[in-house]
Amino acid sequence: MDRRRAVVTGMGVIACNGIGVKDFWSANLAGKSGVKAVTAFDTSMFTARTAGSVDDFDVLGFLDKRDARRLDRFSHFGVAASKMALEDSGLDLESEDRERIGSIIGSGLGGVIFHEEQILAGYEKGVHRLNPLCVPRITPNAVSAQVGIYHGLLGPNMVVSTACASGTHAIGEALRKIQYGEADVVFTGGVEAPLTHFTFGAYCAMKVLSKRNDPPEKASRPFDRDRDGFVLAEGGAVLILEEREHALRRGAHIHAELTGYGLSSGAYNIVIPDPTGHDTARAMHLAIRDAAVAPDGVDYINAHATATGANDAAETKGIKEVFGDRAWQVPISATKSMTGHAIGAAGAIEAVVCCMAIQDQMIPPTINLDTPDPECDLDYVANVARAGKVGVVLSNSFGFGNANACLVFARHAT
Amino acid sequence: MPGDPVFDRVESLLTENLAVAREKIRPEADFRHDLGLDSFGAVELGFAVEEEFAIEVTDEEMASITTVGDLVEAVRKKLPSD
Repeated sequence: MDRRRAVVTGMGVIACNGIGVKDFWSANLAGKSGVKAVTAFDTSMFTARTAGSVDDFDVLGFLDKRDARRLDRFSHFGVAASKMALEDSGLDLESEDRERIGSIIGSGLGGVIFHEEQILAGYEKGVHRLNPLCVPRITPNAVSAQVGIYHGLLGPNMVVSTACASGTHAIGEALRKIQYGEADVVFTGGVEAPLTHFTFGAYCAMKVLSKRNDPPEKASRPFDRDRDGFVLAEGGAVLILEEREHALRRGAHIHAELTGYGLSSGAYNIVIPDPTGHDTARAMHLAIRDAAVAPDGVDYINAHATATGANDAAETKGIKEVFGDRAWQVPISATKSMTGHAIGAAGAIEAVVCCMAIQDQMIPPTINLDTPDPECDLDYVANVARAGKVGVVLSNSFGFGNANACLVFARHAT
Repeated sequence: MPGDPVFDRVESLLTENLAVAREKIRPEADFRHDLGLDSFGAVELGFAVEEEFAIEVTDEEMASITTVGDLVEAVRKKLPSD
């Protein structure tokens, strides 16, 4: 029996350079960064002072006041993006078997905003005075649960937490649920809301954040010789991933097909990637093989490319290992140059980029790529978007702890 | 009792924090049966009342409070008299 196939029929996205697919995608094509100086808390004690904050997100446009209070910001992003995605999909939940619909979402950190607030409150008033919403707001699986509660989804309900790869792993796991017949539709993606004083400080302590604070939009410079770390960001994206026949039967618009998923580990270090990139190559290779395409069949790579010295060099090596001579021909872009690094949301935000690249046959740029790095010598679509044939796309995400996940999206031919 | 300052503050907690419709909030309204508060809603209400009035309400006291009027009375007894 042929394997069940899965297609993307709806998308919702909240990123620092655009809310909603339309604004987000045009920002990407225009090379518009959403990185700005942090104003939400004092950064004077830190070397890094920029972030990809989503300043114009109004949760009350998506949730009533009571629900907004009961959910932390990462879940706000999840529910809001899921509403946008559902609307885009045209799926009528009233006429669906909700037991066949699930929510599988990635989050690296969970509800760290409320967690931090309540720890401070606990010190001030005593830990016997904690808010009863502590656990319901903080727990990482709040986001998949709240998306499920909001839409009445009765199928698989789980959160995947693999740091910077969470969103990509979640989407890959959703693909498997559909392929294995455990669900017909999955609301899947990733969210993160890490912009708190403590969490920002914690990333700063690892010395992985860019210190290039002025101007902020120049801070995130993947593959550039002068890159000096990533820019912490927040946001989320949710896809409606649907079994292909199910989507065809209802005449849904199909953005792209999700055809491949590959995972690997470097077993190298909890922070640092394996400098050979061999572990990333294995994940890329497995995803491409799962999609039943040859490396020559890949038209575009959305790289993990955080703009740390180590990641971008290792990823470049990994791409060369998989693609051989073709590595120099396939366009690669690092959209984190514009969105910053939204940790568990990153892979999901980039999945939206991949689907739109396929739909519009356009490749977004890597901005701030001004000075080539001898170690990063591939075609990174520097600074300006490019039209091109985009039939098959590889999306890379590599999390702290060498948790690697890759997805392959393909143009869907009816 | 509407117009009473304690009642008004309790009414605000119920509408703001627990999304109870204002017109349902009367002194005789039962939290569970008339206002639809579930067991966790009661926990949230207890916490909100403690924060709003800077008082402590024990679990036993909370268990004996079934109506809005009960709650207003219990709060009033705990407030320092002026």
